[in-house]
Amino acid sequence: MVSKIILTVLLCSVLFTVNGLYEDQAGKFDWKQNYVGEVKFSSIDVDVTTKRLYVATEKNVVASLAIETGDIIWRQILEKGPEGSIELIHPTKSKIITVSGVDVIKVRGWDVKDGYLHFEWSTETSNVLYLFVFNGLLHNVYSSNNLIAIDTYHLETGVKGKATYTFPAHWFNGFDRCALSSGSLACFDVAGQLNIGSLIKSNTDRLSLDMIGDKIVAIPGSPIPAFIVTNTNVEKLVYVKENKVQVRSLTTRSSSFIYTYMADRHILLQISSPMQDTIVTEGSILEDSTVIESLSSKESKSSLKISNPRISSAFCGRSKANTVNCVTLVSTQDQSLMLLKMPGSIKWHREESLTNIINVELVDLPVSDIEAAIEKEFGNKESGAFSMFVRRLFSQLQQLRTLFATVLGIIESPSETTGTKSNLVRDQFGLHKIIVAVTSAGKLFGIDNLNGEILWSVLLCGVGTFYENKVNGLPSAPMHLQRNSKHLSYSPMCTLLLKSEDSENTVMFTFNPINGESKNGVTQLPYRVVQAVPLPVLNIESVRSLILFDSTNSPHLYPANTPLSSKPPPMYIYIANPTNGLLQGFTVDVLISGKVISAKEVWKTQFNKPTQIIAIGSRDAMEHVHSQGRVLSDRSVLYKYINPNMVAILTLAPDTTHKSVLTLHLLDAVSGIIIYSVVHKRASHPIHLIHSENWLLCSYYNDKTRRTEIASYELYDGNQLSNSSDFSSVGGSLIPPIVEKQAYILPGFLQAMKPTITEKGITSKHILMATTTGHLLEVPWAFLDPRRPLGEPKEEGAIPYIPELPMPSESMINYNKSLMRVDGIYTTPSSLESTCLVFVYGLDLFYTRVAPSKTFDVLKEDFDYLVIIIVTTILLISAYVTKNLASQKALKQAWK
Amino acid sequence: MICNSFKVCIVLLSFILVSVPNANGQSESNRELYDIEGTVMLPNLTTSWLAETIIQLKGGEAVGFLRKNGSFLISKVPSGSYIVEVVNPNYVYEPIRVEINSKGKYRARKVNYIQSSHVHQMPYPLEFVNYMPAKYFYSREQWKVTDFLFNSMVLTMVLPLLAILVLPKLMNDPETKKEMEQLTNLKHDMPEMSEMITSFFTGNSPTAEKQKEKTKAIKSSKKSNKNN
Repeated sequence: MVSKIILTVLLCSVLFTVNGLYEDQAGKFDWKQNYVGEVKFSSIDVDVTTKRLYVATEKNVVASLAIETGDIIWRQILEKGPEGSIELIHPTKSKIITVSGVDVIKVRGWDVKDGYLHFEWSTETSNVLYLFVFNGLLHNVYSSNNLIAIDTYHLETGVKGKATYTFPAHWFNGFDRCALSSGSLACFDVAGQLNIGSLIKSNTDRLSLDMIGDKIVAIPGSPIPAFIVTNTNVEKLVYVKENKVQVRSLTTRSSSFIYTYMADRHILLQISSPMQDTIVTEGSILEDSTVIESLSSKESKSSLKISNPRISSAFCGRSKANTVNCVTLVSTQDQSLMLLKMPGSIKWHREESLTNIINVELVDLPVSDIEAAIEKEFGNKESGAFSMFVRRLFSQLQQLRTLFATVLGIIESPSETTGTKSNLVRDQFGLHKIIVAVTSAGKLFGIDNLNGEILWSVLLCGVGTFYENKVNGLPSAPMHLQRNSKHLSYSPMCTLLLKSEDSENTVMFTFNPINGESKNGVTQLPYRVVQAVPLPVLNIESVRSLILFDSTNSPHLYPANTPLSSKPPPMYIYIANPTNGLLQGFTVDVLISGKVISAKEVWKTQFNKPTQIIAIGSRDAMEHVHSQGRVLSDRSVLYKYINPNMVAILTLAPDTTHKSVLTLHLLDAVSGIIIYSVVHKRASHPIHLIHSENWLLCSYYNDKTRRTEIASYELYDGNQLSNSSDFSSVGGSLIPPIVEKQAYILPGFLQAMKPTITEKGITSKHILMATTTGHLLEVPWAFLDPRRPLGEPKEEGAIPYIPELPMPSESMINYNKSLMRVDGIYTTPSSLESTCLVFVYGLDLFYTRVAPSKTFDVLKEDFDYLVIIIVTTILLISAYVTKNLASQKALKQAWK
Repeated sequence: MICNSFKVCIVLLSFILVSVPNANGQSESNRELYDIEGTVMLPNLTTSWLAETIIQLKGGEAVGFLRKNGSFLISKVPSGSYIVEVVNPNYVYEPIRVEINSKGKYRARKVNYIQSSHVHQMPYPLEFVNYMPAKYFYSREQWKVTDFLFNSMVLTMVLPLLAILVLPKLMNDPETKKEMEQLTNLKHDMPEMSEMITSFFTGNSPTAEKQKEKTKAIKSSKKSNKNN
């Protein structure tokens, strides 16, 4: 036993030296960007010594930002989901108080300077309508027994105030008909009257006003009760002052904010964005509509892409020149955050929508113009020798000309003329790429992977809320790279499929991933796409066409009617519908002319309720499996079962005895045969599934043993390959594969899991795991191998089975850059076989690269150039000196 | 008969199992919620350190934050068994399992994932005392003289050299010295093979030839002097 442990420790130490970082490598090829999320509430601290902003966001984050730069000073992340959703923030002199939660309200006071906790108290409630703070008391407005009841609590101690007081229930009639502002509740009643009543005192009369409206919203953070009433596109501002209701009509469609300027005067700030790159502000005195000139401005900035700005908080003061100056924190519908100085300009701008990335693609950059010219020259093979010679001369002349031109500065350098940043060209090792990210705000970003700089952004118009991925309940946006940067005469092309704004149909956005430019913008499709599959062959324009499968099961080809370069093999497509549990397989014939013949259903599988499909795992299309088998100790080969058509389907079903049962089905998507099934009892969320090469990993929380377990499966054909040349799902033998299985304990909780991928698949595989403690763990697959022997090791290099997986801190590749709230990990190969590029997204963005088998194809970073230079020069010098010495000696000998 | 009784058993069992979730459902509507308290020993008492440390319950289902004195509170959690972890980017703490039974009794124990029945009691309110700085990096190999000297290649070359040069000098025994000298003398007495053969074939001794060469060289040098 002891020897076994020692052996494992030794093996661990050997294997773990493979990954991990040296201290001087920190930050060399990785970067991390911290975000806070879409701002919900904010407050500006005007204290000269601090000069801070406090924000509470949709991501359940409370943070402090520097006014001057917008950098995060401190950040605290509350509970995930509705339990931690921040309902209000209340700044005091030394603390910032947040109220969060739904059924359990938690009140926490944070230190303004450092962000640590001062106090915390909590209370249980239900049916909460509104929460507001007045006079240092937290008012909890809730409905109970046909009454609107209000409880008050002392905000800092949680001591319950005077008795609960109530109002009649008809005061409140739905969130869309009512709004609460500054402790006053305004509601439309059936008779078409707007009633405003204060909820601060127990017995109050309601103020009434004849007004018809479709919608009523409160002006956020208003010091007096103020509402915006919309009635058929006409907006009116209703506010209460000195117990009188005042109405002011608003001319422009803009977002308003009220700021107390003097004791009896208020400033009405309005902001709007008529175009994506323009921001217009207006300021006036609320009471008498006097326009304040210094607060009216219009600013255009080409890099800006915003929609529907809204003032989150503001601070105004009087300058020396006796004009009114304001600082406003503006949040927009596309989830960006900016600080606007009035008069003046945008001081800084944060793209907080990057916290909601739903799809990522790393796209290769195009080659530089000079290289492209060379490639073009050699690419043309059918021309004769003379024409080749002429072309060579011509291209060299051109190269010479561009060289002269750049040296003399006559024209801009060739790469700058392409319109993007000058250094956006492919490097030798394919390490420089562009990260194309789609966010749920409908904004697309192109990010440089080497430094995290945003190169371009596009705000999509006419796009509704995203299709919900029924499998995991998250929004989905399928993105396909249809043409990569390798085709010189064409620019790369990427297609995004999204939901239309006004129907269930799909809209398509085709763009160039290098600069974000689109030829036709957002185009409407007359159907809803349920599955999009790329063809295995390119068309004559080097585009990988997509088969778009619509909801009536008829296929379409995009781009349509363009001839293909060769006849594609018959395509098999599967569709999984998690809502009704139906799985279907189709075959689609595509003609060489680019026409699609309708699809035929091949197979069908139904999972009946309450069984639910929760995850589908298929292999990465880019993945190559280098070795076909595994050499055993007796020198025989165990062949891998590599079925490119296999998909893994995870279903979860409630069970009377085992609470919930997790089932893994391995399905052949061509024939519809279930190859293998396995059941895990009492397994619950979080569940993650990965499928790569001939193995699968499935992590789940085991309710019985109360720990996270990772089940590992490996499929083998046996001692002989059943499909020796190409894999065939229909032909060949139908002998089920041998399944090796084993489970491991992970001492922690997983947020996301992903295998590394390299260009040729020679490099060994590692699994990247993001844990809830904020670490990104790199675990060699050898540790999760189901063939880890239980007894004495039979195979060379096999690590004996130990149930608990090691989590050494050296294999945490993000070191102390903690990654909280990870949504996903994206891995892509570089041109170097050893290196895999990793991008982690969630609340923070993190990029790094890993070399699972060490960088065997490039010189090590710590390669000592100095020593090798010194040694060679010494050798050269000594060789020369000794040669001279030898000849001298020979001469002397001759004299003897 | 045995078979029959067995069936009855199954029916009874399933009945019980069906009825259990119902009971759970009832208790869930008015479930009791409990607070978990504890303290964390801090490596240093700076306030920024407090802010970057959080306490996670079951991988973040509930969170607690540190107050100035290092104490924390995870409020309003239902009864059950939880793993409480201290999350800090630079330090590693050992997690603790907390069990709250339906009567509200607390029990803290050491986390043992493999043998979950093995109980190693810990104090409650929780105390996170053992911490160590996380070692994220490997240290680079540095070039040292000792590394070079103890290199196997160097050793194989240096040691025989030592054996040849130093060892004979270390020998003080006169008899062995004499023997050694005799050995070397013997070598000198032995005529060189190649010289013997050349003299045999050419007919004159090599020494005579050498002298001839010398005279030639002197002549030529004299000539060059004249030229100058």
